[in-house]
Amino acid sequence: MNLPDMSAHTASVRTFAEWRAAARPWLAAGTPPHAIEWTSPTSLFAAAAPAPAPPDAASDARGRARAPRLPAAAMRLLETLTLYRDEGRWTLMYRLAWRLLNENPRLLEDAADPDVHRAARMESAIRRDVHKMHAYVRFREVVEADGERVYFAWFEPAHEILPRAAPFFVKRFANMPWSIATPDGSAVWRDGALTLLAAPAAAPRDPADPLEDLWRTYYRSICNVARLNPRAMQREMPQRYWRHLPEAGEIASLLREGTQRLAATPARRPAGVSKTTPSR
Amino acid sequence: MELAAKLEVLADAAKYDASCASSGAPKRDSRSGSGMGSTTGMGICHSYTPDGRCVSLLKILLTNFCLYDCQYCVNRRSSDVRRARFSVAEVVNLTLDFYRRNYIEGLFLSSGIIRSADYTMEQLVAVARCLREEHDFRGYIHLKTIPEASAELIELAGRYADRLSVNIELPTGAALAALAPEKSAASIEQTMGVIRVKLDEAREGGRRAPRFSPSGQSTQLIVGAEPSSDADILGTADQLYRAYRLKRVYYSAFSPIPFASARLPNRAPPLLREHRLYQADWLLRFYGFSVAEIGSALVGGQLDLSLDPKTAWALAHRECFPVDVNRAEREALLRVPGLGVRVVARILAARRQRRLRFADLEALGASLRRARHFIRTADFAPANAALGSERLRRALLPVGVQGELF
Repeated sequence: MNLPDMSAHTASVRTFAEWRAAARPWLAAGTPPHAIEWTSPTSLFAAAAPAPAPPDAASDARGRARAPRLPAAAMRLLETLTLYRDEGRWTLMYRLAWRLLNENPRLLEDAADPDVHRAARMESAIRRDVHKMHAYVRFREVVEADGERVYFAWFEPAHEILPRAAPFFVKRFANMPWSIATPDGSAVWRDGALTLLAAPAAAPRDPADPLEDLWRTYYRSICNVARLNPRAMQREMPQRYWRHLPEAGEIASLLREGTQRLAATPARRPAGVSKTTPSR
Repeated sequence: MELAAKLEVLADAAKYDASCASSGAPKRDSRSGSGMGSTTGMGICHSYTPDGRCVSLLKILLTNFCLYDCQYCVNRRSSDVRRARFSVAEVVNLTLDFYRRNYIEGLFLSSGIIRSADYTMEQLVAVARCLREEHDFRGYIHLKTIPEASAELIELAGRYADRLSVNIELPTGAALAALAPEKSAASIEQTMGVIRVKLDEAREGGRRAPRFSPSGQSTQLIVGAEPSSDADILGTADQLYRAYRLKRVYYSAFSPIPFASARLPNRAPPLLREHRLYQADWLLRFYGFSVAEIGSALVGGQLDLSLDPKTAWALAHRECFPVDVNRAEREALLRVPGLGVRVVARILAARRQRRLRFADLEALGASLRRARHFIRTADFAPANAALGSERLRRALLPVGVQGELF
């Protein structure tokens, strides 16, 4: 085998495992970040198509002997960055790994470093996206031909997080057949097994679920229109989620009701404040 | 009455309770069980209403019929509000139906007092018991504890619930006597005391002790229904945190209610007052401030509405600044306006790797608009160190407020 030289290399990867297999021999050889061009093909799931062979076989004896070791926290961070929907992620991941090995093993503690700062922002965007998916997925009950009740949801995450977000629903709804479809693929839970399907799903025609009327009734009744704060609501529940939230249809009329009430009473909030109650 | 109509009445009646937290429960999930539900420890807000509040739990009353006549409460017996009562089965099914569609983290159940404290408490416990034992429900349950309910019922409630709460309602005993003659501060605090003792027993007993409200207890007090000052309120909160080890004190700005008593103000206090109280509460619990220290920056016992309490304190204590971000202890950094708990943690880690310059602080997440007046970095010291506090105060006011002062 030939060690990679300093001329430009290219790699096309789509999962963390593929990136790692490709990056490992280059890291072992000390190949600098600017010598590699990273790209990704389209699909999210490795199961959909076999992974391309890494540029150097992972089983190569010399490659394994010199396999670079990164701290567990760094590996977790890199794996999370994989989910970020941006072409530049693979390049940043390699640069971080290379700098951890060649510049400073404690690089990640330096939040003021531009690469670390960017990675932290990406990581927090992923965390937020996963959290919002856990919050805003809405299942609809569908009675199938055999009478079985199954639960179906359609969701559009900002990043490629379905594999990261799905285990939460497994834990919560282990005894309930459900599936979640997204533009990147679907997660299906049946008989104690989770299947991730690569086929991009289309938004389904809406099956009616009468429970949604009760939920809307609750949403209207629990809102205190005497103290409107739509900015705080939108900061936590941006409009892009509203399309698939059954309760969002109530927002406009609640705002109207509250504004009319406000017009009838003189007290107004001072400028410069839109904070929500801190929650902890 | 139809279920939807009951839900409308009994959710509306519950909306004045600010608490909606679903955090702090021990991690568990449904994989080993026959039902559904999980808790992650963090809590999830499943929706937000146009009032800016989160919807985490199905927050309802079992009934809004009530024997008491608390003046600030929309459900007092002399109010003309519509009345309704759920059956135990209705609450159980509603909780399960909402939960399986991923609308909620669980149930927050409260109630008006009917027949007696014990009877009411029994009904609340029956709902929780049915969810846990008959449906193996592993989501979050918060039960309101009725003051004067028996210790046995409280113990049972704690076995099923993740959190218990007793509302202190008003910041002083005198205010309570004036507005809620049938309630007494003593019996409310006695109930908190019973809960605290059982929480301690569960903690000291370890795994062998019976489960008891693993997410602790909380309370709520109403702000602006009577003339108590912020100093009174924070003093009460601090004393409650110490005496009963509360997880949270919620502050709920009094909201004028339909069918209001003539003894109440007819307009709400500024929501900003509620917000400032929460900020001060945070300083007490996470920033190492004492009530006396916050008190040193109050004017006439009130928090400054136009400045957050940490900035107000810093302006009153210019001798403590500027703080050198490359050398100062954590405690001193936490006192700098614009530096939160997480930013301080990042500063402490990053400065082991480099000497921090002014531009680095932005990457660490600091709010430099405020912090810049109170810090020193490798390349920066505030130009206005000699600036009088009044001019500095104006510079620190929120942007929207500044214009009005000139």
